[in-house]
Amino acid sequence: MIQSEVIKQFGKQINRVVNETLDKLAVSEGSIVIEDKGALDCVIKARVEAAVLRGSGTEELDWEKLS
Amino acid sequence: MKLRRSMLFVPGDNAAALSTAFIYKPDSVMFDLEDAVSTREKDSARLLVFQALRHPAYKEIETVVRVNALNTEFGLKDLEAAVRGGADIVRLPKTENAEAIHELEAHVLRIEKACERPVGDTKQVFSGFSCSSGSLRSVHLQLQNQNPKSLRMLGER
Repeated sequence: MIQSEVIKQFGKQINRVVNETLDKLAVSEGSIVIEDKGALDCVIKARVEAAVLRGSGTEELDWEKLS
Repeated sequence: MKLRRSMLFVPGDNAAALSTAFIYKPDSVMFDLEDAVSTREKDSARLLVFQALRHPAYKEIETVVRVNALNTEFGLKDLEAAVRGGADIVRLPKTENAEAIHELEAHVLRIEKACERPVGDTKQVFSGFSCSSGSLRSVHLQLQNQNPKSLRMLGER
């Protein structure tokens, strides 16, 4: 679920960035709520990664997969 | 010689600041993962800084990352984020002895190799005075004199 102030202009792009990030982390299912205020793609990536890593309790990161 | 008149300090956990710091075109921008970031946000800040470093807007600006000391649980992970993200300079806080520098040097080398960055691409800065002969790759020594607000960078080699 994505809520964004810029959903009309950037909704598709946000969706794509989120999905790409999740794919890289091999996350296929889950309840993901995103509340965006117009962040850059790199911030959205970092936030999604942080949420997944916290949610899964991952301590050691595989940096190759974070891009 | 690279000019370093202005260094913009950006707290690593502040997404809004990371997204806008480049528009001010400072000579260098320093993303802080150490004191500026509270313990509970260390993980998310590290990822924010990693992704920001890779943002094209920061290709034009010299990027510095202040990592946590390597003897903390955060230090090595911060270093991975900084080197893999492509930071130009890694800044090590609280450097107290030459061993800390050799340790940093070894880890930077290992990570550079692991992520196929050119070896020696990441410069390193230390705070502290007694370690000037520590590393071949130390480009600057940060001098901190009596007035803590007065920071100076010494020349490159």
